[in-house]
Amino acid sequence: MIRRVAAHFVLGLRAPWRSRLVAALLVLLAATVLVLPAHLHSDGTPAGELRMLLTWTLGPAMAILAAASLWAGCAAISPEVWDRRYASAAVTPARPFEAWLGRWLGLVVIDAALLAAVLLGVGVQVMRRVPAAATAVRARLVADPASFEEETRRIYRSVFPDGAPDGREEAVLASIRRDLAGEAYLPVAPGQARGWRFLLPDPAPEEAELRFQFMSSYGSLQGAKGSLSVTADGRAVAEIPVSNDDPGFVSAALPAAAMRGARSLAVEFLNGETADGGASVLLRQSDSLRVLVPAGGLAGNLLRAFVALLAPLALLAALGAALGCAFSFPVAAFLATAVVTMVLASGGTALRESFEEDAHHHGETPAETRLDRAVRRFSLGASAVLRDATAPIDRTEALDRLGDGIAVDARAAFLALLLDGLALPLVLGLLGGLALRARCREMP
Amino acid sequence: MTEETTGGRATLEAEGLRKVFRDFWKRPRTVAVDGVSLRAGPGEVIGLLGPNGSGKSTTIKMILGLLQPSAGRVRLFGLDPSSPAARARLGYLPELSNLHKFLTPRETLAYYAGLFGMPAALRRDRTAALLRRVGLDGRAADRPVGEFSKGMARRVGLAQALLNDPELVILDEPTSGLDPVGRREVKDLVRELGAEGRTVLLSSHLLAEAEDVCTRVAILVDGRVRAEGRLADLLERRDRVRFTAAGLPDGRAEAFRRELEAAGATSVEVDRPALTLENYFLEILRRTRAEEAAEEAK
Repeated sequence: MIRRVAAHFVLGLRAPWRSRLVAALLVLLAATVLVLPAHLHSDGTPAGELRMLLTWTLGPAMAILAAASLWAGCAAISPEVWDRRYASAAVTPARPFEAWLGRWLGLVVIDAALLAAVLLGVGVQVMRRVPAAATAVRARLVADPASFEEETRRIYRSVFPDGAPDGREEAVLASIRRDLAGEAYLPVAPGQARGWRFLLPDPAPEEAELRFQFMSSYGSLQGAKGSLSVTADGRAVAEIPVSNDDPGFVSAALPAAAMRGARSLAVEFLNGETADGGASVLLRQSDSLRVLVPAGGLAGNLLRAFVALLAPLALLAALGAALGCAFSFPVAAFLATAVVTMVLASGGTALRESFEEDAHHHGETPAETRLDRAVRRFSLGASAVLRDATAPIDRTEALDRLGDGIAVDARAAFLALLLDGLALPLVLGLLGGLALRARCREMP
Repeated sequence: MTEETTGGRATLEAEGLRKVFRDFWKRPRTVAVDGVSLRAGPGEVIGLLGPNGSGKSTTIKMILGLLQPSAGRVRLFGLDPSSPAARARLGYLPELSNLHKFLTPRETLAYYAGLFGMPAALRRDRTAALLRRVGLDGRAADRPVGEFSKGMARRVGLAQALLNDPELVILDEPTSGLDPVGRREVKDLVRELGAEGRTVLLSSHLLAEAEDVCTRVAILVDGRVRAEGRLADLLERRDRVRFTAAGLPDGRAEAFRRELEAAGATSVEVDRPALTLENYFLEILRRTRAEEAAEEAK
């Protein structure tokens, strides 16, 4: 099997190279990484320069690589089947899955080489233009999973002090858990509080920075006030005021000495407004509050980002190659693009919210036909499946973290590569192999 | 073709093959092959002949497992044609080679050798030997196939079909695009393959070439076998006798003709046998090359 896969792998390397696809990509990527930054202007701060270099070059570069991976995957096998070139290979002992596997591996190696070149180019640019101190990377402290359930209960008690009516407690708790885990902004009313608890590493970090982002219910970034209480294993660490003048963002250094020997760090935000006319503060449990500690340098972060960013490229190449096994190139490219668009659209809550809004239009609940119900269930179901399938990649937040100088989580990156960069592609490959086998038995 | 003629060890067995092509709604559109049966054993060169659209290529694809028969069955070496074990012993030259244009002949053969699971050393040796055999050693071996003429590309296809030292070789229009010299080489190669004990199934609409190399033929018209058997048996004219003699004085031929008529023969013809155009052409080429060599030697 290895020799047969290797034969397809070598062809999978040669085809993009000799068709000049790789050369064209190198030119595009060079323009993105080297030429584009010369025409972009940051806010003048080292952090702004870093964000500009890492986000506004890597973002377009990843888009180029993603599109190329998807369509190169579609073209890996499909044209050979279409113009009957594959007949000679089909009558050898090589199995269709081995053909898919070899060609996919070839594309992944090319992706890895190009991605490495892009990250290296960006890294060199950063080292030349940004002071070393500004390139230091920080890691987010991991939230204690138990604190999540505590907040769920706290929010439930604030909404239903006397318990939910009609025995709907579990349904309400499930809804709150879903909102906390998702991207929903939940309000903290005047006089109410929201808390986070983080696990401290051992030994405790030498420095830590607290970042708090919020919006007010007035629809602006201002008009909210309160305080952040920081404790470590119950010991007071800091009391940080949040005032109406803060532009939706508070950052403060935490004294390291106060955290020494502690195992967890708790932060509680109290909305200090009064109930009559005071604004609620809108917070997202996942990222409104972050505690950042030092976590090495840019090179290590770029390496972790490489692992995280290779996963979606491998998945896209696999999707393209699998669809190319089943369809002609134009059809495969169209379907692949449609699937990717659905994945991107399913990433947020927009789809679910649009169905909910539609169902409650003008305060009425119009009758839902069976077709409406079927469409809604299919759309939400497909959206959920696609979202869950690509969740490991989403969790790495590689590009966002790079731009913000936050460490890409190594475990998340590795899991993304393992699940979305290898396991899911192999499933797609099995399906592609079955499709190719069926096509090879009806080769006119 | 019977079990007796194949010696009971059939390399290829196809029984009652039928192929109906259907439209998108699964309605039958065309009956391409209807009730074709073939049997071939080691050392046999079988010609599958017929006009364009007679079902030759469809029959071959069903034999190879590239098309699912609507009815009938195929066995190669007693195995299903789509099994890896059967395909490891099979060589195939399609009607249109359609090689990867960006690969050289050497790389093309290396690719297919990999698909047969050949180790690197064997791959190198066989590639070199086959390139020599088809006349593509030297610089041509390292030029992209996209720069080749149709005939040169066909030679690469032939080499690829023989790469795994197959026991069954299926050649679909093998001489397509080749010049007379190339065609002669292919015919010689096919005879060699048969002499080596391999089974060769050859599809062609060039009857003269099939006549030169095949031991058996099956003639397809409109998807059905209209005639089949040993070539000598099919072509023999039992109502005529031909004598060929060398060194007969001129006047004696006429006298011999009168004797035959007196013995009761009718429609007696006396003439001189002719070379085929191909043989004459090759003879002229041979003489020209010999003269050029002699001039250079001077």
